[in-house]
Amino acid sequence: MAWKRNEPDIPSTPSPAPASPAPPSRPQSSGRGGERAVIGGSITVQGDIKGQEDLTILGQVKGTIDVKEHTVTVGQSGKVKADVHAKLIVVEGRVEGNLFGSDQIVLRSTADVQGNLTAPRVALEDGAQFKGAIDMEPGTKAKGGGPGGSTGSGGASSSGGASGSGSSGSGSSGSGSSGSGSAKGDSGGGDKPPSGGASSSGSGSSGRG
Amino acid sequence: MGFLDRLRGKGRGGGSRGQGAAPSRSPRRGDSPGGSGEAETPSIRLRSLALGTLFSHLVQGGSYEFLDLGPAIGSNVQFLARYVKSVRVGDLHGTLTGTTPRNVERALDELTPAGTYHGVLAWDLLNYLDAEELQTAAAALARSVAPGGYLLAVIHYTAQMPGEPLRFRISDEETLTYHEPRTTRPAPRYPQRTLEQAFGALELEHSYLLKAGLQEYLFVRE
Repeated sequence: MAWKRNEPDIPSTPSPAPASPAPPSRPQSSGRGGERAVIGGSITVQGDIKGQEDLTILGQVKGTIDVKEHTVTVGQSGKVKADVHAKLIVVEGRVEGNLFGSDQIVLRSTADVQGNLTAPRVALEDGAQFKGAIDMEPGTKAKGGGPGGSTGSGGASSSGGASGSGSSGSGSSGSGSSGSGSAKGDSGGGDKPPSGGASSSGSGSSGRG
Repeated sequence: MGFLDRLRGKGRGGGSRGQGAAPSRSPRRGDSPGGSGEAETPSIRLRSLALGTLFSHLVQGGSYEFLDLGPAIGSNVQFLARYVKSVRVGDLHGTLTGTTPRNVERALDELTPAGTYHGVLAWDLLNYLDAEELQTAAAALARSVAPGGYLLAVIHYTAQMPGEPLRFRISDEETLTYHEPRTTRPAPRYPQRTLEQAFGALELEHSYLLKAGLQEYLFVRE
């Protein structure tokens, strides 16, 4: 188990999307050499989403989300009814479903989550609403850790693009997300550049022998 | 040594009715209550003899499963993660408060699979259940405790108790902090005999009177 005080590269999300139409979707760099897809605030996706890039959800998703090697961020305006599989999952909005993070799950103060969390590291910020079980993966617990929440800072930054459908591709990079199912709405969300700073929550201290 | 073996005869209190340490008030106002939107009140540190006893029976890195009936508090989850494989956060009071009509049995139904938990943290919950709810909740919770597992509960023995359950934060293995309550209400003052009968399947291992108007109970399932 590792409850690290400072975790780099935990992205912050854009503010809730504006209602007005937005420019066409354009995947943006996540700052780690990858790509990021954004499901805008007015978008509703029903179905399964698989991808090879980071995903930010500002709209609604019902189904499943599978981006195992990447980051899923549910922004404050995001509403997800889905099981989510990702490397890092950051929740600021509402989630009904089970979250599986191969690296870490972070529930920020505005998060409202009903479901089970499975990850080697889980951080709940003060104010986060959560009901469910938290399972630490076997064999990953004894890395140290301790009580007390703290907030660190990271350096991830990105500028967002809006996705007006259930799928987004990253074009030249060759990576992309695919959504099976239906998508509704215009591309009114996700065009607002995310804040550049990223923060993480967690704690660290040595365990008692 | 199995879990059951570790639970036997290792309590620090040396018996029931230990004398708790007086709480100390912290002048600082950090450590937000979190989630309630309430303005912060002074933080109070409390030496918890029951918690100390409970943790004295656990080993770090264990594969314990815990049920925390309080609201989600990140620092508690992180602390418990030193010891447990899994912690389920129930927030029973919040669930009941947000449900009309209140239904303890339904609220606990999914939370309390039989014989599951090595530790149940009821905290300040029982005070906020009426007599009938207490019986229902105690029976369900008692069933959910695994053999050798513990249940920790706190009761207000004074005439008045906080208007809302205290939100305890685990500072270390035997220290809790909570915020001074802003409002009070009459306390049911459930006597020890009532609790022992309600948790019939569990045995009262320790009962600690604390000077903060609190009484801690540590039940164990044989």
